[in-house]
Amino acid sequence: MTQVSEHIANSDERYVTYRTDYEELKKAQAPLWLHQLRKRAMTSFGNLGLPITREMDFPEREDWMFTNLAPIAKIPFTREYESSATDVSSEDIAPYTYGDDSWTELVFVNGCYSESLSRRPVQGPGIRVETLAEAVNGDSELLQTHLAHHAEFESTGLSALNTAFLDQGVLVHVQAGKLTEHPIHIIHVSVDRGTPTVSHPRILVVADQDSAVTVVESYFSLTDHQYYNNCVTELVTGRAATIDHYRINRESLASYHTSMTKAEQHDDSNISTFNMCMGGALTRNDTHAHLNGEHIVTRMNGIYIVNGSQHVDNHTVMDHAKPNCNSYEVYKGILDGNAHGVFNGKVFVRQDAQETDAKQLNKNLLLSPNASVDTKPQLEIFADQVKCTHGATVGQLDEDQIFYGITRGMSRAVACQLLTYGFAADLVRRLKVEAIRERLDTLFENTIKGRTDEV
Amino acid sequence: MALLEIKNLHGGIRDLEILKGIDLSINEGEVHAIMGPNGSGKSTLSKVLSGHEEYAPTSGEVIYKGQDLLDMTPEDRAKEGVFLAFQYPVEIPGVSNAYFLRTAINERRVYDGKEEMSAGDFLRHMRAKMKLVDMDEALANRPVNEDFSGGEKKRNEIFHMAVLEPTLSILDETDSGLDIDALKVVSYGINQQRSEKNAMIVITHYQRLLDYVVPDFVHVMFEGRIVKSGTKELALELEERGYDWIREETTAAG
Repeated sequence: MTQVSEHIANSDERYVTYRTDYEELKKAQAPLWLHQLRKRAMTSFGNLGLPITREMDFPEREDWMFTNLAPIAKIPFTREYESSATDVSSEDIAPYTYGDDSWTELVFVNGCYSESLSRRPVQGPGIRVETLAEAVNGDSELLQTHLAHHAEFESTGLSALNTAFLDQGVLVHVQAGKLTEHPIHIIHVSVDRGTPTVSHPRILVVADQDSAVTVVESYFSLTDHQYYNNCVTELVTGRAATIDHYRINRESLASYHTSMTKAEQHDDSNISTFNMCMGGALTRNDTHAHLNGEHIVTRMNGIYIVNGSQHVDNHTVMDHAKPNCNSYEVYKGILDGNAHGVFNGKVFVRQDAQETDAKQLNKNLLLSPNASVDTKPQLEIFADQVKCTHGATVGQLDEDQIFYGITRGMSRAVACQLLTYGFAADLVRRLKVEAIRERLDTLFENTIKGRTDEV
Repeated sequence: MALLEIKNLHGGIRDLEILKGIDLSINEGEVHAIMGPNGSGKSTLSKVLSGHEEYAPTSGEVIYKGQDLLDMTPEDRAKEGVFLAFQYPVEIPGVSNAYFLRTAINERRVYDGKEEMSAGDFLRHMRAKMKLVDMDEALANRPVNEDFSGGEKKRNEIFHMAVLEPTLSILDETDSGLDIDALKVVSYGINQQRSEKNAMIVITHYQRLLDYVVPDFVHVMFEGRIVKSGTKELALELEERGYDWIREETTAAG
């Protein structure tokens, strides 16, 4: 990046609220390492700005061909510092939770941790679940080792912005051989307080050797207002560790959601990510896995069900660095109205990564003539003993399937609804957490039937 | 009045006329077998009757329960009790067999002005029917026909028929691809559903099925027409002599 563009971004009027917020955050007490990390990230953001397509150069520009963040840059989003959360109750949150009292739930309102809304049952030995603030003030060695070491911010404006405001978030650490009995649910709820707010949720999950943990991130809004969530999640596995990660996006239809999920994997580990998107005016998810060991299995699944003028973009990277690893990826989209979907699935098979087995599939169902999808598989293979398959489809419902339903006595409309539901349910029934599986199944069924009643 | 009265029915797919004047009358309580060589129009007849949009009638008349069947939408035909068991059953990923059937049965009930069946009532109804076709509970909960074997798919068609209790069932080569054990199970399921209130059209290439599902009448289709009708003995004769003599007779007569 040149000095000229640095100058422009640093003095860019559009980012004035970020700079003001950053000056405020600098005044808050924090250890030196954190101050320095934020500062480096803010400098990087100053250089990069938000990724706005027409302001970018090749090759970074390629990743933003179909998603334009200019609307986000135009809005003077500000950050909330401390939230009293008196305008949010447990009953407001209940419809978006899954488990019983045994689930850990960490609740953030407009980006700020709410102790009163959270539920934190005592964790077993070797399992650490803390807010970032708690972790920073406690034993911060793990944070210093991992935080921002996986989701790099030197060339990624959104991660730079998140890291510059590194303050609110969650650390999950599972020591060797330990398993969490129930998922850790991190809940981000937004509520209208008159001004457009931005939050930068930051999650770090470290699973040591032979451990297993499930982490669920939920995003939703109690009011249909404008706000912005710019999330970064880092997932790190030790040898033979397992992380299951869920991102459930039910944001307000006036909101913006960008996320970077970065997985760093070692030998024999398993990571699965499930990415559900129904909300947001504009959503961009980047899910990257670095398969940096042998005999790794990585699964990335996702589903987007969008309507109206919603825009949802999923960019995934499956980076096979070592031999004998398997990756499986299925993303499905159901698009109605004028909705626009984007899928870009990169698979790298590095020179060392012999015997890689990588499968990728993106299937889209267009329910309206004005809905559209841009889908692109991108395979870059530098090893010669590999199996890589990919497929992408964009289309309507199958007439033979519709006719089959009709011969059983269904009206055409009902047969179409049933098939659309089946298209989504096919992916949901593979989810491991039963409570989420059942809830999403009902949610999809009701959404597709056009029912508005909450589930 | 007959349940189904087909008069001089012509039709086919796109511009191709396959049915060239079918006449057939079926009363409640009867099972009619339709046999005939490949390409004679048997499956086309089943698709025209069930209302597949690619198969259009061009002339003639079909009266079902006193109504003009060809004038009815495919949905309404099914809701009025016309059922098609597919030669190649369709897979519906993500939708369990049970959920699929409950949706279907409840749509029909609403059409009939009845209340929807509760989940519990449906489960009891379904379980009773599962016994008829020796159906595993697992198959009811799996997505419709997905990863079913060929035999399981055919058995599933008869299971659908049992659950939906149609008035007129058209079974399109339900016996194809079945081994002898599966054939017996499927035939038992079909026979259990025969009654004075309903009727069946059984389309098959082979006599084998008719050993188990004994028809009241047998018709032979050839080049889009029914060229010979008789009782079950006709099927035996076809089994013994093949279709060549029919071809010769028809050609000589034509």
